[in-house]
Amino acid sequence: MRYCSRSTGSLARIVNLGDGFARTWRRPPNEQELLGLIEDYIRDEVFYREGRAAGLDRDDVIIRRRVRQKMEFLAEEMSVPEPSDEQLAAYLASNPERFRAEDQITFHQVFLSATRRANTIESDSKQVGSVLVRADGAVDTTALGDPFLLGEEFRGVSPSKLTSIFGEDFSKQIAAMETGRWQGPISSGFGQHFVFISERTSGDLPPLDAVRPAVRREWTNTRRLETEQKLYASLRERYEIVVETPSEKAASAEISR
Amino acid sequence: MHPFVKTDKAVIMGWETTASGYAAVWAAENTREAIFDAMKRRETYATTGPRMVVRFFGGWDFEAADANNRMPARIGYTRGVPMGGDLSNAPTGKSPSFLVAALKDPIGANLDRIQIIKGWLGKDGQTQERVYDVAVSGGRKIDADGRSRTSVGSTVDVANATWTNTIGAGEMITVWKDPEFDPALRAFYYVRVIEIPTPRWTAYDAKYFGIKMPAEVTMTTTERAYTSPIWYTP
Repeated sequence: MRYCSRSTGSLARIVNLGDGFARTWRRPPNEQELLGLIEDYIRDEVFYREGRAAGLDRDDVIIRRRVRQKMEFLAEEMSVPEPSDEQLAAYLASNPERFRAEDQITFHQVFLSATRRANTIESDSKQVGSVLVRADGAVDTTALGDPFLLGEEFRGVSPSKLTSIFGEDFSKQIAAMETGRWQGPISSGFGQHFVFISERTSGDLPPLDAVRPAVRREWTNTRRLETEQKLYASLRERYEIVVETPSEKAASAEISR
Repeated sequence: MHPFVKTDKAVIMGWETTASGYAAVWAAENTREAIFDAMKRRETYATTGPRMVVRFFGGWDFEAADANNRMPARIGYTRGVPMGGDLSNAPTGKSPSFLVAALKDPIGANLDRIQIIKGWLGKDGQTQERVYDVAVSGGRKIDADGRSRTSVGSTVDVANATWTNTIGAGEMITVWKDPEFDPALRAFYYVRVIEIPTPRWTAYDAKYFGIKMPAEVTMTTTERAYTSPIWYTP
Protein backbone atom coordinates (compact mmCIF):
# COMPACT_ATOMS: atom_id res chain seq x y z
CA MET A 1 0.00 0.00 0.00
CA ARG A 2 1.27 3.33 -0.95
CA TYR A 3 0.14 6.59 0.51
CA CYS A 4 0.73 10.01 -0.74
CA SER A 5 0.93 13.03 1.43
CA ARG A 6 0.89 16.61 0.30
CA SER A 7 3.56 18.86 1.65
CA THR A 8 2.82 22.50 1.13
CA GLY A 9 5.45 24.81 -0.21
CA SER A 10 3.06 27.66 -0.54
CA LEU A 11 4.06 31.14 -1.54
CA ALA A 12 3.19 32.52 1.87
CA ARG A 13 5.45 29.97 3.52
CA ILE A 14 8.30 30.82 1.16
CA VAL A 15 7.99 34.53 1.92
CA ASN A 16 8.04 33.62 5.59
CA LEU A 17 11.29 31.70 5.19
CA GLY A 18 12.85 34.62 3.33
CA ASP A 19 11.83 37.06 6.06
CA GLY A 20 13.30 34.82 8.72
CA PHE A 21 16.58 34.73 6.82
CA ALA A 22 16.60 38.52 6.38
CA ARG A 23 16.09 39.09 10.10
CA THR A 24 19.34 37.27 10.82
CA TRP A 25 21.42 38.28 7.80
CA ARG A 26 20.05 41.81 7.24
CA ARG A 27 19.48 41.06 3.56
CA PRO A 28 17.12 38.83 1.59
CA PRO A 29 18.40 35.37 0.63
CA ASN A 30 19.78 34.89 -2.86
CA GLU A 31 18.26 32.24 -5.13
CA GLN A 32 20.54 29.44 -3.99
CA GLU A 33 19.99 30.26 -0.32
CA LEU A 34 16.24 30.40 -0.80
CA LEU A 35 16.19 27.01 -2.52
CA GLY A 36 18.20 25.68 0.42
CA LEU A 37 15.69 27.12 2.90
CA ILE A 38 12.75 25.58 1.00
CA GLU A 39 14.45 22.19 0.77
CA ASP A 40 15.22 22.29 4.47
CA TYR A 41 11.62 23.21 5.29
CA ILE A 42 10.36 20.27 3.22
CA ARG A 43 12.77 17.98 5.05
CA ASP A 44 11.48 19.35 8.39
CA GLU A 45 7.87 18.74 7.37
CA VAL A 46 8.44 15.20 6.06
CA PHE A 47 10.26 14.09 9.19
CA TYR A 48 7.79 15.86 11.46
CA ARG A 49 4.75 14.16 9.89
CA GLU A 50 6.37 10.75 9.85
CA GLY A 51 7.65 11.23 13.39
CA ARG A 52 4.24 12.15 14.74
CA ALA A 53 2.66 9.22 12.93
CA ALA A 54 5.17 6.97 14.64
CA GLY A 55 4.32 8.52 18.01
CA LEU A 56 7.77 10.01 18.55
CA ASP A 57 6.26 13.14 20.11
CA ARG A 58 4.81 11.21 23.02
CA ASP A 59 6.69 10.59 26.30
CA ASP A 60 9.38 13.07 25.31
CA VAL A 61 10.33 15.34 28.21
CA ILE A 62 11.64 18.11 25.98
CA ILE A 63 8.52 18.20 23.84
CA ARG A 64 6.28 18.17 26.94
CA ARG A 65 8.20 21.05 28.46
CA ARG A 66 8.06 23.06 25.24
CA VAL A 67 4.29 22.63 24.99
CA ARG A 68 3.93 23.64 28.65
CA GLN A 69 6.09 26.67 27.98
CA LYS A 70 3.89 27.69 25.05
CA MET A 71 0.81 27.42 27.27
CA GLU A 72 2.52 29.58 29.88
CA PHE A 73 3.34 32.14 27.19
CA LEU A 74 -0.37 32.31 26.41
CA ALA A 75 -0.96 33.39 29.98
CA GLU A 76 1.77 36.01 29.65
CA GLU A 77 0.24 37.37 26.51
CA MET A 78 -3.07 37.99 28.24
CA SER A 79 -2.40 41.64 28.50
CA VAL A 80 -2.02 43.28 31.82
CA PRO A 81 -3.61 46.75 31.79
CA GLU A 82 -1.43 49.81 32.31
CA PRO A 83 -1.30 50.61 36.03
CA SER A 84 -2.58 53.89 37.35
CA ASP A 85 -0.51 56.19 39.52
CA GLU A 86 -2.60 55.17 42.54
CA GLN A 87 -1.90 51.50 41.93
CA LEU A 88 1.84 52.17 41.54
CA ALA A 89 1.98 54.32 44.67
CA ALA A 90 0.17 51.63 46.65
CA TYR A 91 2.57 48.97 45.37
CA LEU A 92 5.58 51.12 46.27
CA ALA A 93 4.23 51.75 49.77
CA SER A 94 3.56 48.07 50.45
CA ASN A 95 6.91 46.80 49.09
CA PRO A 96 9.39 49.34 50.44
CA GLU A 97 12.33 46.92 50.75
CA ARG A 98 12.40 46.35 47.00
CA PHE A 99 12.88 50.00 46.18
CA ARG A 100 14.69 51.51 49.13
CA ALA A 101 18.04 53.09 48.30
CA GLU A 102 21.06 51.80 50.20
CA ASP A 103 22.40 53.62 53.24
CA GLN A 104 25.43 55.76 52.54
CA ILE A 105 28.42 56.64 54.64
CA THR A 106 31.13 59.28 54.20
CA PHE A 107 34.34 58.82 56.13
CA HIS A 108 38.08 59.15 56.06
CA GLN A 109 40.51 56.67 57.39
CA VAL A 110 44.01 56.27 58.74
CA PHE A 111 45.37 52.96 57.50
CA LEU A 112 48.05 50.81 59.08
CA SER A 113 49.33 48.21 56.67
CA ALA A 114 49.85 44.69 58.00
CA THR A 115 52.35 44.22 55.18
CA ARG A 116 54.52 47.26 55.91
CA ARG A 117 54.31 46.86 59.69
CA ALA A 118 54.46 43.09 60.00
CA ASN A 119 56.11 43.09 63.41
CA THR A 120 55.07 46.44 64.80
CA ILE A 121 51.44 46.85 63.89
CA GLU A 122 50.10 46.38 67.42
CA SER A 123 52.32 49.01 68.99
CA ASP A 124 51.99 51.35 65.98
CA SER A 125 48.25 51.01 66.26
CA LYS A 126 48.26 51.98 69.95
CA GLN A 127 50.41 54.97 69.18
CA VAL A 128 48.24 56.23 66.32
CA GLY A 129 45.15 55.57 68.42
CA SER A 130 46.40 57.77 71.22
CA VAL A 131 47.08 60.63 68.79
CA LEU A 132 43.66 60.36 67.19
CA VAL A 133 41.67 60.08 70.39
CA ARG A 134 42.75 63.61 71.23
CA ALA A 135 42.08 64.89 67.71
CA ASP A 136 38.91 66.01 66.00
CA GLY A 137 37.83 65.87 62.37
CA ALA A 138 39.85 68.94 61.48
CA VAL A 139 43.23 67.46 62.28
CA ASP A 140 45.51 66.79 59.35
CA THR A 141 46.07 63.07 59.26
CA THR A 142 47.81 62.94 55.89
CA ALA A 143 51.13 62.15 57.53
CA LEU A 144 49.71 59.39 59.70
CA GLY A 145 49.63 55.74 58.78
CA ASP A 146 50.30 54.24 55.38
CA PRO A 147 49.05 54.91 51.85
CA PHE A 148 46.07 52.82 50.84
CA LEU A 149 45.72 52.08 47.13
CA LEU A 150 42.04 52.96 47.10
CA GLY A 151 42.58 56.15 49.05
CA GLU A 152 41.72 57.65 52.39
CA GLU A 153 38.50 59.48 51.52
CA PHE A 154 35.27 57.63 50.94
CA ARG A 155 32.15 59.61 50.01
CA GLY A 156 28.63 58.26 50.03
CA VAL A 157 29.65 54.61 49.99
CA SER A 158 27.03 51.91 50.52
CA PRO A 159 27.49 48.91 52.86
CA SER A 160 27.62 46.55 49.90
CA LYS A 161 30.39 48.61 48.31
CA LEU A 162 32.30 48.67 51.60
CA THR A 163 32.04 44.89 51.77
CA SER A 164 33.45 44.52 48.29
CA ILE A 165 36.38 46.82 49.10
CA PHE A 166 37.24 45.86 52.68
CA GLY A 167 35.37 42.65 53.41
CA GLU A 168 32.22 41.98 55.41
CA ASP A 169 33.77 42.28 58.88
CA PHE A 170 34.90 45.83 58.23
CA SER A 171 31.53 46.78 56.82
CA LYS A 172 29.72 45.36 59.87
CA GLN A 173 32.02 47.07 62.34
CA ILE A 174 31.74 50.46 60.69
CA ALA A 175 27.95 50.14 60.59
CA ALA A 176 27.91 50.23 64.39
CA MET A 177 30.08 53.34 64.74
CA GLU A 178 29.09 56.90 65.60
CA THR A 179 29.77 59.94 63.50
CA GLY A 180 31.99 62.86 64.37
CA ARG A 181 34.97 61.30 66.10
CA TRP A 182 37.95 59.08 65.39
CA GLN A 183 37.28 55.47 66.22
CA GLY A 184 39.02 52.15 65.83
CA PRO A 185 41.10 50.34 65.07
CA ILE A 186 38.96 47.97 63.05
CA SER A 187 40.67 45.25 61.11
CA SER A 188 40.43 44.02 57.56
CA GLY A 189 42.44 41.65 55.44
CA PHE A 190 44.77 44.59 54.71
CA GLY A 191 45.60 45.67 58.24
CA GLN A 192 44.02 48.09 60.68
CA HIS A 193 41.93 51.17 60.10
CA PHE A 194 40.97 54.18 62.18
CA VAL A 195 37.89 55.89 60.80
CA PHE A 196 36.22 59.28 61.15
CA ILE A 197 32.67 59.11 59.91
CA SER A 198 31.51 62.57 58.92
CA GLU A 199 28.13 61.70 57.48
CA ARG A 200 25.62 58.91 57.42
CA THR A 201 22.48 59.00 55.27
CA SER A 202 19.93 56.26 55.62
CA GLY A 203 18.44 54.79 52.50
CA ASP A 204 15.12 56.53 52.09
CA LEU A 205 12.14 55.28 50.19
CA PRO A 206 12.36 57.32 46.98
CA PRO A 207 9.29 59.15 45.64
CA LEU A 208 7.33 57.36 42.89
CA ASP A 209 8.64 59.65 40.15
CA ALA A 210 12.24 58.64 40.91
CA VAL A 211 11.58 54.91 40.58
CA ARG A 212 8.52 54.74 38.35
CA PRO A 213 10.00 52.35 35.70
CA ALA A 214 11.13 49.88 38.36
CA VAL A 215 7.82 49.99 40.23
CA ARG A 216 5.86 49.54 37.00
CA ARG A 217 8.03 46.58 36.05
CA GLU A 218 7.59 44.89 39.43
CA TRP A 219 3.85 45.62 39.55
CA THR A 220 3.38 44.21 36.02
CA ASN A 221 5.37 41.12 36.91
CA THR A 222 3.29 40.51 40.02
CA ARG A 223 0.06 40.81 37.96
CA ARG A 224 1.46 38.44 35.36
CA LEU A 225 2.29 35.79 37.97
CA GLU A 226 -1.26 36.13 39.36
CA THR A 227 -2.74 35.68 35.87
CA GLU A 228 -0.62 32.58 35.25
CA GLN A 229 -1.69 31.09 38.53
CA LYS A 230 -5.38 31.79 37.76
CA LEU A 231 -5.07 30.19 34.33
CA TYR A 232 -3.43 27.09 35.77
CA ALA A 233 -6.03 26.83 38.52
CA SER A 234 -8.92 27.06 36.06
CA LEU A 235 -7.40 24.43 33.77
CA ARG A 236 -6.60 22.09 36.61
CA GLU A 237 -10.20 22.22 37.79
CA ARG A 238 -11.21 20.29 34.68
CA TYR A 239 -9.27 17.19 35.78
CA GLU A 240 -9.73 14.49 38.35
CA ILE A 241 -6.32 13.79 39.76
CA VAL A 242 -5.46 10.61 41.64
CA VAL A 243 -2.10 10.15 43.35
CA GLU A 244 -1.29 6.68 44.63
CA THR A 245 0.44 6.65 47.99
CA PRO A 246 3.69 4.66 48.41
CA SER A 247 1.86 2.01 50.45
CA GLU A 248 0.31 0.82 47.22
CA LYS A 249 2.30 -1.15 44.71
CA ALA A 250 3.74 1.67 42.65
CA ALA A 251 3.69 5.33 43.46
CA SER A 252 2.25 6.86 40.34
CA ALA A 253 0.16 9.83 39.39
CA GLU A 254 -2.77 9.17 37.17
CA ILE A 255 -4.69 11.98 35.61
CA SER A 256 -8.05 11.47 34.01
CA ARG A 257 -10.28 13.96 32.42
CA MET B 1 38.19 10.42 37.29
CA HIS B 2 36.31 10.92 34.09
CA PRO B 3 37.58 12.59 30.96
CA PHE B 4 35.96 15.94 30.26
CA VAL B 5 37.09 15.71 26.63
CA LYS B 6 38.32 12.53 24.95
CA THR B 7 39.29 12.58 21.30
CA ASP B 8 42.20 11.19 19.32
CA LYS B 9 43.75 14.65 19.45
CA ALA B 10 43.67 15.03 23.22
CA VAL B 11 42.24 13.81 26.48
CA ILE B 12 41.33 16.36 29.14
CA MET B 13 40.38 14.91 32.50
CA GLY B 14 37.61 16.47 34.58
CA TRP B 15 40.01 17.32 37.40
CA GLU B 16 42.19 19.29 34.97
CA THR B 17 39.46 21.82 34.22
CA THR B 18 39.06 25.04 36.12
CA ALA B 19 36.83 28.10 36.12
CA SER B 20 37.59 31.08 33.91
CA GLY B 21 37.74 33.98 36.39
CA TYR B 22 36.76 37.65 36.25
CA ALA B 23 37.33 40.66 34.06
CA ALA B 24 38.00 44.00 35.75
CA VAL B 25 37.53 47.44 34.25
CA TRP B 26 38.78 50.88 35.34
CA ALA B 27 35.82 53.08 34.45
CA ALA B 28 35.24 56.71 35.39
CA GLU B 29 31.65 55.94 36.42
CA ASN B 30 29.50 52.91 37.08
CA THR B 31 27.48 53.41 33.91
CA ARG B 32 27.17 51.34 30.73
CA GLU B 33 28.76 54.11 28.68
CA ALA B 34 31.78 54.55 30.94
CA ILE B 35 32.38 50.81 31.24
CA PHE B 36 32.18 50.35 27.49
CA ASP B 37 34.52 53.29 26.91
CA ALA B 38 37.01 51.71 29.31
CA MET B 39 36.84 48.43 27.42
CA LYS B 40 37.34 50.22 24.14
CA ARG B 41 40.50 51.93 25.40
CA ARG B 42 41.58 48.59 26.94
CA GLU B 43 41.86 49.84 30.50
CA THR B 44 41.06 46.36 31.71
CA TYR B 45 42.60 43.39 33.46
CA ALA B 46 41.51 39.89 34.36
CA THR B 47 41.92 37.51 37.27
CA THR B 48 41.55 33.77 37.70
CA GLY B 49 38.83 34.40 40.28
CA PRO B 50 39.95 36.48 43.30
CA ARG B 51 39.23 40.21 43.24
CA MET B 52 42.69 41.79 43.36
CA VAL B 53 42.95 45.50 42.60
CA VAL B 54 45.69 46.19 40.06
CA ARG B 55 47.04 49.52 38.80
CA PHE B 56 49.56 49.81 35.96
CA PHE B 57 50.92 52.97 34.36
CA GLY B 58 53.74 53.51 31.86
CA GLY B 59 55.64 56.68 30.99
CA TRP B 60 59.05 58.30 30.75
CA ASP B 61 59.23 60.09 34.09
CA PHE B 62 58.20 57.83 36.95
CA GLU B 63 60.55 57.82 39.94
CA ALA B 64 61.02 55.38 42.78
CA ALA B 65 59.51 57.88 45.22
CA ASP B 66 56.21 57.75 43.34
CA ALA B 67 55.62 54.38 44.98
CA ASN B 68 55.25 56.15 48.34
CA ASN B 69 52.73 58.68 47.14
CA ARG B 70 49.30 58.74 48.77
CA MET B 71 47.58 58.97 45.38
CA PRO B 72 49.60 56.84 43.00
CA ALA B 73 46.82 56.68 40.41
CA ARG B 74 46.82 60.46 40.11
CA ILE B 75 50.54 60.42 39.38
CA GLY B 76 50.00 57.54 36.98
CA TYR B 77 47.39 59.31 34.90
CA THR B 78 49.24 62.62 34.96
CA ARG B 79 52.66 61.36 34.03
CA GLY B 80 51.85 58.32 31.93
CA VAL B 81 49.27 56.09 30.33
CA PRO B 82 47.23 53.41 32.08
CA MET B 83 47.04 49.70 31.19
CA GLY B 84 45.94 49.32 27.60
CA GLY B 85 47.56 52.60 26.62
CA ASP B 86 50.18 53.50 24.05
CA LEU B 87 53.67 54.96 24.38
CA SER B 88 55.78 56.25 21.53
CA ASN B 89 58.30 58.97 20.63
CA ALA B 90 60.77 57.92 23.29
CA PRO B 91 62.68 60.97 24.51
CA THR B 92 66.32 60.56 23.58
CA GLY B 93 68.27 58.44 26.02
CA LYS B 94 65.23 57.53 28.16
CA SER B 95 63.78 54.13 28.96
CA PRO B 96 60.15 53.70 29.84
CA SER B 97 59.33 53.41 33.52
CA PHE B 98 56.25 51.80 35.01
CA LEU B 99 54.28 52.40 38.19
CA VAL B 100 52.54 49.23 39.27
CA ALA B 101 50.49 48.46 42.37
CA ALA B 102 48.39 45.54 43.53
CA LEU B 103 46.07 45.01 46.46
CA LYS B 104 44.95 41.52 47.46
CA ASP B 105 41.32 40.41 47.45
CA PRO B 106 40.08 41.59 50.89
CA ILE B 107 39.05 38.05 51.82
CA GLY B 108 41.57 36.29 49.59
CA ALA B 109 45.15 35.11 49.76
CA ASN B 110 48.22 37.30 50.09
CA LEU B 111 50.35 38.16 47.09
CA ASP B 112 53.64 36.48 46.23
CA ARG B 113 54.98 38.80 43.57
CA ILE B 114 54.25 41.28 40.81
CA GLN B 115 55.80 40.62 37.42
CA ILE B 116 56.13 42.66 34.26
CA ILE B 117 56.31 40.63 31.08
CA LYS B 118 57.99 42.37 28.19
CA GLY B 119 57.48 41.23 24.63
CA TRP B 120 59.27 42.75 21.67
CA LEU B 121 59.93 42.27 18.01
CA GLY B 122 63.65 41.68 17.54
CA LYS B 123 65.74 43.10 14.73
CA ASP B 124 65.51 39.68 13.06
CA GLY B 125 61.72 39.96 13.04
CA GLN B 126 61.37 37.23 15.67
CA THR B 127 59.16 37.78 18.73
CA GLN B 128 60.81 37.60 22.12
CA GLU B 129 59.50 37.60 25.68
CA ARG B 130 61.05 38.10 29.05
CA VAL B 131 59.60 37.96 32.55
CA TYR B 132 60.79 40.39 35.24
CA ASP B 133 59.88 40.07 38.93
CA VAL B 134 59.41 43.71 39.89
CA ALA B 135 58.11 43.34 43.45
CA VAL B 136 58.24 40.36 45.79
CA SER B 137 56.92 39.89 49.31
CA GLY B 138 58.96 39.43 52.45
CA GLY B 139 62.07 41.27 51.27
CA ARG B 140 63.29 38.40 49.10
CA LYS B 141 66.14 39.27 46.79
CA ILE B 142 65.58 40.04 43.12
CA ASP B 143 68.70 39.01 41.19
CA ALA B 144 70.47 41.22 38.71
CA ASP B 145 68.69 39.48 35.85
CA GLY B 146 65.34 40.59 37.26
CA ARG B 147 64.22 37.25 38.71
CA SER B 148 63.67 36.32 42.33
CA ARG B 149 64.50 32.69 42.72
CA THR B 150 63.39 32.34 46.32
CA SER B 151 59.98 30.70 46.50
CA VAL B 152 57.38 32.33 48.73
CA GLY B 153 56.62 28.89 50.18
CA SER B 154 53.21 27.43 50.86
CA THR B 155 50.86 27.30 53.82
CA VAL B 156 48.39 24.99 52.10
CA ASP B 157 47.07 22.09 54.20
CA VAL B 158 45.74 19.92 51.38
CA ALA B 159 43.92 17.43 53.58
CA ASN B 160 41.88 20.18 55.25
CA ALA B 161 41.77 22.45 52.20
CA THR B 162 42.99 25.47 54.15
CA TRP B 163 45.75 28.06 53.91
CA THR B 164 46.91 30.98 56.07
CA ASN B 165 48.08 34.47 55.14
CA THR B 166 51.24 34.15 57.20
CA ILE B 167 53.36 34.44 54.05
CA GLY B 168 53.14 36.91 51.19
CA ALA B 169 52.02 40.53 51.25
CA GLY B 170 48.62 42.19 51.33
CA GLU B 171 49.74 44.91 48.94
CA MET B 172 52.73 45.89 46.83
CA ILE B 173 53.68 48.98 44.86
CA THR B 174 56.81 49.79 42.92
CA VAL B 175 58.34 51.68 40.04
CA TRP B 176 60.33 49.67 37.50
CA LYS B 177 62.38 50.82 34.56
CA ASP B 178 63.14 48.67 31.53
CA PRO B 179 66.89 47.85 31.75
CA GLU B 180 67.11 46.69 28.12
CA PHE B 181 65.14 49.25 26.19
CA ASP B 182 65.78 49.69 22.49
CA PRO B 183 63.75 52.63 21.15
CA ALA B 184 63.89 51.20 17.62
CA LEU B 185 61.98 48.02 18.47
CA ARG B 186 58.23 47.59 18.96
CA ALA B 187 57.38 46.21 22.39
CA PHE B 188 54.60 45.58 24.90
CA TYR B 189 54.59 45.33 28.68
CA TYR B 190 51.91 43.73 30.82
CA VAL B 191 51.60 43.00 34.54
CA ARG B 192 50.99 39.68 36.21
CA VAL B 193 50.19 39.51 39.94
CA ILE B 194 50.59 36.10 41.56
CA GLU B 195 49.08 34.97 44.86
CA ILE B 196 50.62 32.57 47.37
CA PRO B 197 49.53 28.96 46.88
CA THR B 198 45.96 28.13 47.88
CA PRO B 199 43.89 24.93 47.80
CA ARG B 200 42.47 24.12 44.39
CA TRP B 201 38.81 23.17 43.93
CA THR B 202 39.92 19.54 43.81
CA ALA B 203 41.17 19.83 47.41
CA TYR B 204 37.91 21.44 48.59
CA ASP B 205 35.88 18.71 46.89
CA ALA B 206 38.09 15.93 48.28
CA LYS B 207 37.61 17.30 51.80
CA TYR B 208 33.86 17.82 51.40
CA PHE B 209 33.15 14.40 49.92
CA GLY B 210 35.75 12.59 52.01
CA ILE B 211 37.52 11.01 49.06
CA LYS B 212 41.16 10.46 48.27
CA MET B 213 42.29 11.84 44.93
CA PRO B 214 44.81 9.89 42.82
CA ALA B 215 48.40 11.12 42.99
CA GLU B 216 48.35 12.87 39.62
CA VAL B 217 45.55 15.26 40.54
CA THR B 218 46.69 18.86 41.15
CA MET B 219 45.56 19.99 44.58
CA THR B 220 47.01 23.49 44.94
CA THR B 221 46.96 26.49 42.67
CA THR B 222 48.39 30.02 42.44
CA GLU B 223 45.69 32.47 41.46
CA ARG B 224 46.73 35.47 39.40
CA ALA B 225 45.73 38.72 37.77
CA TYR B 226 46.98 39.92 34.40
CA THR B 227 46.55 43.31 32.76
CA SER B 228 46.10 44.68 29.28
CA PRO B 229 49.54 45.56 27.92
CA ILE B 230 51.00 49.02 27.47
CA TRP B 231 52.23 49.20 23.89
CA TYR B 232 55.41 50.90 22.75
CA THR B 233 55.72 51.93 19.11
CA PRO B 234 58.92 53.59 17.91
